[in-house]
Amino acid sequence: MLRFIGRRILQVIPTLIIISIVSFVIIQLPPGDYLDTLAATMAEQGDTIDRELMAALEKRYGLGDPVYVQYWKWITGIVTRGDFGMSFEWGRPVSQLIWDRFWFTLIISISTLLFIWAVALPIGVYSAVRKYSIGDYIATLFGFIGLAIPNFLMALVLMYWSFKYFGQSVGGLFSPEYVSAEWSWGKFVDLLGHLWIPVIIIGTAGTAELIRVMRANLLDELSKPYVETARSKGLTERRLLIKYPVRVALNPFVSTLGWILPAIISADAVTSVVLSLPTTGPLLLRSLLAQDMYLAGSFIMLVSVLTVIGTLISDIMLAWLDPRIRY
Amino acid sequence: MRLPKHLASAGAMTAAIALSLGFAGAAYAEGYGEAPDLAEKVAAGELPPVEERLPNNPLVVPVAESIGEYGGTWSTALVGGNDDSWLNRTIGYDKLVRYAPNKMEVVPDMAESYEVNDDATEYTFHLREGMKWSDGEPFTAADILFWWEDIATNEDYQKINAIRGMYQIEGDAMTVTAPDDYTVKFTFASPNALFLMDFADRNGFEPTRYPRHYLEQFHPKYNPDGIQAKLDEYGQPDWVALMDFIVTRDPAGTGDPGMPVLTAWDTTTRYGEAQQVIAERNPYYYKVDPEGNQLPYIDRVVFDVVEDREIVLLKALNGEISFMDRHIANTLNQAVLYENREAGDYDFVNVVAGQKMNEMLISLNLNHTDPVKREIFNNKDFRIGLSYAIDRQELIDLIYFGQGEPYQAAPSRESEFFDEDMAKQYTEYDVDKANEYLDKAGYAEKDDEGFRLGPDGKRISFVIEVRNTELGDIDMLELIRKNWADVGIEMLVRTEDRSLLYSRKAAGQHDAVVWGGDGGVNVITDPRYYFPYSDESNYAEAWAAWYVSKTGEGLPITPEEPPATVKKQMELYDEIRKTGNAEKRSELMKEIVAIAKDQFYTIGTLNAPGLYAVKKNNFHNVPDGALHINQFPGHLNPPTFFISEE
Repeated sequence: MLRFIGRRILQVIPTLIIISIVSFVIIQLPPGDYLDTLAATMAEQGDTIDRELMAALEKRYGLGDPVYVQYWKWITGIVTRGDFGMSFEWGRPVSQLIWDRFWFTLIISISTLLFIWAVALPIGVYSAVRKYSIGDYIATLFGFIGLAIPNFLMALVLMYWSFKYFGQSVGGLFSPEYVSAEWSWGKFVDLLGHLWIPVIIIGTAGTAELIRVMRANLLDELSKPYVETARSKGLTERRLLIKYPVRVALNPFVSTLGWILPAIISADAVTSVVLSLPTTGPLLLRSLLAQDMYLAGSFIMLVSVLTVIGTLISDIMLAWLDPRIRY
Repeated sequence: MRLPKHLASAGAMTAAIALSLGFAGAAYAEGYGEAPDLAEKVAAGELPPVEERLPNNPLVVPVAESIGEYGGTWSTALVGGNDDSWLNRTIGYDKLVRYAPNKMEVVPDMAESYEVNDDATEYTFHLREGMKWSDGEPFTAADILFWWEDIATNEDYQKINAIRGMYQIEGDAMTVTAPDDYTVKFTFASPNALFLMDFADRNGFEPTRYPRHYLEQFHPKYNPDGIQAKLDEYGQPDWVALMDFIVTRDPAGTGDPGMPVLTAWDTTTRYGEAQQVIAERNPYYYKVDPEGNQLPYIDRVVFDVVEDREIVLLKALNGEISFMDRHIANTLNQAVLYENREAGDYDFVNVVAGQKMNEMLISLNLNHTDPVKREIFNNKDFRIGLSYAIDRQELIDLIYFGQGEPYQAAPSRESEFFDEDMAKQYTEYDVDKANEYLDKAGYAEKDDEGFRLGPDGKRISFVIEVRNTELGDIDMLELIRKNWADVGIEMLVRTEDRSLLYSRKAAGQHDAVVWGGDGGVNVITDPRYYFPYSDESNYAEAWAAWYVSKTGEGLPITPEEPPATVKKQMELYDEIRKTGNAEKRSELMKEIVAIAKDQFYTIGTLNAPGLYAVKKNNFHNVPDGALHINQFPGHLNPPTFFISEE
């Protein structure tokens, strides 16, 4: 087992190097650079940008250097000093920017995850056990609807409703009066009042998917001989179900852990933009649009590292959970 | 004589309330009025009395409607991380000199007065004695000298920063001297007549944004031992980056929390760090209303930082925006905003397009690298023919809900350079005339599909590039494409990302692009559509490059010597830069505009339709019909805006 883990960790290193190069190059591919985007944005808004200032900025950001020089500066900063560089747009260290938004992202992602599991697992089990019952059809219907409606659209609709019928302030995680306030009970309650919208929106698609996976897996297991054997030995239906087939059907959940880690960081960018959530998703999206290289590059790097780590963890867990898996 | 402190504050409050109720003549004769919360602090001994906080000669600002009441929060919003411009326009437009409300006229502001010598080489500003930063320290010439000597012209600073163009003339930086504590003199080596206009615009904020007493701790010259600790604290690589981080010079922001300011509101949160930017009243602000009440009236300004402009729209509909035009007040949103006025308890204020004189200008590339296209595009009859072929009324009716009027690239009605003929030439929809001009241009022959043939015997066909964010432009171009096909010209529309379009046009690789027309009232400072002046002159990038730099070093395009008429315009503009006398400058500009009228560089569509802003019903002192210029609404004196309790 230790050898397996060690080998996997060694494989991670070249993967990450390749990812860092590819992501940096891809960010550089669109024509122009951050300053062109800045100039265009400003011109669009009827602002003017000083020619001298632009030249100075180009020098400061090192945008005139060839790509490999820029890459080298960036990657050596990360490796040697843990310095991810400065964001052009925000004028602050990348690590600070990401860290600022990290906790809200974590709160939303984890609540969403819990919501998904809490809803999807029982429904999935139910619709597998009571296959083709009314309940199964209803769960399937809602599952497909949740899967089919794009998150951002649902976000817009929910926001419109809350504006139209509740007069609630829209977007964000807090009402205006609490946004900059110190933490208090009132602020916490206010957070809960806002949190449910993104949790439901981001959660529906995931819930639907998990219901389907759970149902399919469990159906496979239910028809296996060991279930019959257990039943014939007089085990109660409930105990039988929980103890064997559900446990086996849970395997896919473990193997998807690998995707959950990066998802926690990147959140659901489009939904977050629409809902104006203070998460990292919109930051990533904006940095890509603005060609804010170091921010975007570091983001992609971070997400990749988490994916790799997540995959590693889920592999190890699977190997440990399921004795049938060889390594 | 002064009243006891607690009585004085009570008096100020009553006076403010009485005045807002309309008791004219109930002027507060005992001294200056101040906000109740400041009066409390004075009574508690936390602040010096208002007389001591104000300069000896505070600036008296007229109010648009009535004397206001103190209090309230101005709620507005910023979209994304690069929206500094709205911060600047609302809470950042306090500087040495400024534009007067609704006039393109430069007036003193922080400076009590200013003088310019006859040949426009020397600008002298007289500061207000006793004026203070928001922490109570005096603001003097030493602060401006600090900015110029220790920041702007500092060797380290120069390595990664540049001196703004306006502070230089022909590559020579100005010199700054201070004959006494309250006088500052900017001296240029040669005449720099446009300086004051640029300086009064938003970019001229720097001299008054560097509080010496506070910033010395971030400067190695004054804090050689402690600078490392400061760098570590802020996580910045060197002192220059740290200084820019504290002052947020680029793009212009409002300073780090804690940095003293001279503006009406001081930010307590940094843009980008939290979900809001909050700016609180500056108790040392140097302006008063005509009754002697210290401004600003509004306690604080809160900017919600959101990621999407639709959120701003929803907030406005929900009545969560006090006053705003940016991001939301466009033609597309007009109907939904109008419908929800009662529910959201807001209304519209009319705004007149000042800077923007055209919704969409079609700029054919007169410097095209393909000789055939160059010949066609440079044929004025061809451009006239295309202009006649556009059914502008259809554009107005279908896309702009009947608002706006046909217009060419010409100064707007509010400008002293307005010329009805120029604005209206070739704008009527006349297919016969269009055909006549296109025939006259020499392209009478057509191919099997009815399209005209160019001088090389091939079909005339060209691509117009348009930004994918400009839905109105894209719709207009679709209609124009049909209009032009009717007269035998094939035009294709290509929508693309803004930065791609930008770099393509800067390199002169385009057939044609469309862009909104600037230079409506600011004709002298922004002449990009009157002659090839900068890389924003989309119709002649190579000529403009020649004007900017004969060698073309560092430019994405090879400069090209323009024809004599264009050169004449450039010479006239050089003349303007050297002319100290404003009337003479106008005369010269009129000549340039007249040549532009004859040259007919770009094809206009319609002038920007009536603009508006959204304003809560309890938000006051925003004049109706204000001119929309770069500083909007800064030039309308936001410190005089107030919120009434209802």
